[in-house]
Amino acid sequence: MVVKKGILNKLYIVVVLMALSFIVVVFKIFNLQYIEGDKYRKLSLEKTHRNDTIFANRGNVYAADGNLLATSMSKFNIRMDVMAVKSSVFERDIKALSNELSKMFKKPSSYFQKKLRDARKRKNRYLLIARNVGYNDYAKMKTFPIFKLGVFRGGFIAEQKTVRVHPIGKIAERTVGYDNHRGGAGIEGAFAEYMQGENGRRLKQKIAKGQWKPINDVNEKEPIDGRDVITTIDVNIQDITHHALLKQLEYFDADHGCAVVMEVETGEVKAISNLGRTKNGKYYEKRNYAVWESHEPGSTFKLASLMVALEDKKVDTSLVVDCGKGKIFVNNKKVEDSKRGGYGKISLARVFEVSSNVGIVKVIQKHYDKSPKKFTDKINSFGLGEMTGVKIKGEGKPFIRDPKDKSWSPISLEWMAWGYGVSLTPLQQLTFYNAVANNGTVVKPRFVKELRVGNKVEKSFDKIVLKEKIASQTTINKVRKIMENVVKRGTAKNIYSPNFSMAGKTGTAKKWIPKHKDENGKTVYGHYSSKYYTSSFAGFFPAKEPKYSCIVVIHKPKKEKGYYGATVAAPVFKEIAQKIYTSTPVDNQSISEEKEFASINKSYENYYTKLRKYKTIMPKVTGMVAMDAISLLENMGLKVKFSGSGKVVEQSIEKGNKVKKGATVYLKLS
Amino acid sequence: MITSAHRADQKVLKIAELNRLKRQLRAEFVDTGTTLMRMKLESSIRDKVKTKGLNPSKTPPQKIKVTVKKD
Repeated sequence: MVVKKGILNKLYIVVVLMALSFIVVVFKIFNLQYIEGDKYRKLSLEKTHRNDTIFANRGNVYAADGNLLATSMSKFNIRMDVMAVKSSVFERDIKALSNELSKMFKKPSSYFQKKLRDARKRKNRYLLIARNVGYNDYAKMKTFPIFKLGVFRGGFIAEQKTVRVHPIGKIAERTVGYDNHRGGAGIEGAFAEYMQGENGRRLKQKIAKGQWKPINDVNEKEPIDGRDVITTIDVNIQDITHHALLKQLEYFDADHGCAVVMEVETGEVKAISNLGRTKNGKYYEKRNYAVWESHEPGSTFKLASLMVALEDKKVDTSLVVDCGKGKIFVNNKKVEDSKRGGYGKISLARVFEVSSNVGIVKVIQKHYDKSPKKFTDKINSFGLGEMTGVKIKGEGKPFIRDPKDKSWSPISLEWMAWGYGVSLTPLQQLTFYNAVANNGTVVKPRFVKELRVGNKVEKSFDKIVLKEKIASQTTINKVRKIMENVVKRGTAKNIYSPNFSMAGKTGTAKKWIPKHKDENGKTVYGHYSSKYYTSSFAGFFPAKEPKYSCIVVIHKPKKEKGYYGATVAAPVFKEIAQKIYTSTPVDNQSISEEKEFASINKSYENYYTKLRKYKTIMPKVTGMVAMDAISLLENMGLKVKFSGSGKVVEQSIEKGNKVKKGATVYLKLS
Repeated sequence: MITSAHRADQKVLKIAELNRLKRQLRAEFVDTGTTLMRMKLESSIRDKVKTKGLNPSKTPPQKIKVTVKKD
């Protein structure tokens, strides 16, 4: 019985153990099903369902004529898993692959061979072959030896990413701008919220092949695509502007410069180029100088001074001004003319033409020294002290000193007359010159024409008038004529052309060097440099009924090579004006005395109807003139062989027969 | 019921494939468009034809309108 008891005991133990494990299992099931059930149900849903964001397409940026300026595109990073390739294949094809790579990337074939072999030695499974490869190149690379074997046998890894590309390249890059981790710049930055669109949301369920199928969901949201921005930029004018500016910058080794072309009547900016120098002497669109850089304009400001004096009827353009020997002192500060020995007694109009500093300072001093506020008030009434309010971020602040300012000194008025002590951005200066070209109406500079979704225009931007009339028509006409003479016989006569008219003003301003310590630690007080200049030219063309206004500002040209506005900046203006002039056709109407000839008309009608009617059936061409018959038959796709000249007498294929393209027909002419 | 679910799945796969094709074609379009745009620019054309002796015109083209007197 002891033995049986032992077995029974063991049996009991087994039963107890089994019961225990059974309880544990039941408990665990209970746990999983009810207590932690929700958690696992959620997990399973997550594996099969997810809330998917449907990314909205970012809008594109277009030029005024429809050319694409910025768009999102797939770019590929090509990498290679060198180890995935079998040794035999590798050895056999590595030379061919390196040859193809060297053709595509312009590096010697040996460079690629070495690179691939080294990678194989180091067992590199992720070797970088090329970055930012465009689609066409990517498609080509897929057919290269070894690569064409695919991912697993050729080790071809292509990583796709969406980048913003500029088809036009570096031209106007800063103005087209960007909107990413660096912030927002240019048009992309200013119109970011229009161009972004809104992402949509959809609930999706997992199905085969890694695909997700959308399910009906109350929370679903359709994505709203970003708007396309149509800018005012004209690609061809922009092209010329960019290259003309670049040429001058490179020749004069300048630090940076900008050029802006505006349509007079509408204020649309047709071209804007900003180029800054890098350490190795190359230029690129570094900062939007035209919009942002507020600087002392120098002589281009004299237009404003002259207009103030003329509008207040204090002077007339025929007033004789004694510029003496070209040197005067105002409060012990020297005002000098660029011509040695001075200009003597000249008219006020001539003062402007030759840009005599002495002349303009004397005139302004005489009439406004006792009442400087009258001068500054009038300047402000031209809109010069105000921002233009362009949509592009970062517009520079203009500065016109007020007589009530603490910084107003006894020479502030005189210095303002020839463009120092005031600060304007090139765009603000251009807006002013544009107003003069536009008969006194100040229009706001605009970069964007309309916003579109697909082909539908969503929002249109029209011209905005900032000021109706800043000066009387007489003053405007007078100063426009004087500016035309600046180019004809004044400081800018080097750009004069008999073929087309231009008008404008040169500017050569010394740069202000603020107080600083030089290399030896000595304090250098603030002064006007005799080495660094800002050369500019602002104007419009044609001189009568101006269509476009343009400003060119170049900073720090190499003094030895030249620094006058006429030599450095004006040539850019001329090249732009010339280009626009030669691309605008001139209307010429000629009235012909010829009579209509009924027989010519009839034979043309005959030809034309035959052309439209016969596509595959041979027409009757006998009796037709050779040139009509030949062009008719060749349009149908036949090869025509003929002998003789004149009218068609015989045709080798009878009328009414069906003809195939490429068939030959013989015509006999007499 | 099963058929419709399968059909829906097939549609999803087809949409995905078409989307892929669309992105591919678009990339090809923009890529070729970029090359074309660069070639179209007047400055590049000026450079190319300079060797052949062509220079930009100094005078603009003239539009000639002919009016014919009808009898």
